[in-house]
Amino acid sequence: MTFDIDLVFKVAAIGIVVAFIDIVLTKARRDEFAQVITLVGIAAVFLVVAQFLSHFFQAVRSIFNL
Amino acid sequence: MATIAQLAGASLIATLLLAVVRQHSPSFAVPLSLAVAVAVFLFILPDLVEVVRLVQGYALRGGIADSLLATVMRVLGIAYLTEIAAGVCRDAGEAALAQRVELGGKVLILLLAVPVLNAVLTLVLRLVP
Repeated sequence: MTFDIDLVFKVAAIGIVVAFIDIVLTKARRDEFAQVITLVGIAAVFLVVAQFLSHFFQAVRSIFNL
Repeated sequence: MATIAQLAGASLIATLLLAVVRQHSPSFAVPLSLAVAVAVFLFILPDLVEVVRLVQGYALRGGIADSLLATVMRVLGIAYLTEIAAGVCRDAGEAALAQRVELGGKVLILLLAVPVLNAVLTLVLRLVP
C-alpha cells in the first residue's frame, strides 16, 4: 500500500486556493463572497476527510475486533 | 527501508504544507493534520496486520485463551483510537477536549479489563485461604 499523499495534497491545495480567493475577494470589497467561499471550501474538505476517516475506523475495527 | 523512507518523506512534505496552510487559512490546518494522521495509519496498516497476526500466533502456541487475547486486542484498539483522537484535538489547541477523550478511553479500557481482573482476584483468593 502506498502512502495516500494525494489526499494530503488535495486538502492543502483547497486550503491554499481558498485562502488566495479569500484575499482577492476581500481586497475587492466583496467580504460576503469571501466568507461563503471559505465556508464552501471547509465543507468540501470535511467531506473528503470524513470519507477517509470512515475507511480508517473500519480498518481499526476489523483489526482489533472492536 | 523503502517504507520508512516513504513515511518520513511524506511526513516532511505534509509538515511543510501544514506550515503554509496554518499561516494563510488556519481553519484548514486541522482537517489537513487529521488527514495526515489517517494516511500514516492506513500506510502502515499491512505491517500492523502482520504484527497482530504474529502476536496471535504466539498466543495460540502458548495456549492463551482466545477471550483473553480478544480483550488485549480490544484494549490496544481503544488505546490507538484514543491516542489519535486526543492528538488531533491537542493539535487543534483543544487540550481540554483531548483530556476528556483520554478519560473516556481509560474508563472503557478499565471496563474491558474487569473480567480479567476478576479472574486474577478469584485465583489469588483461592490461593490464599
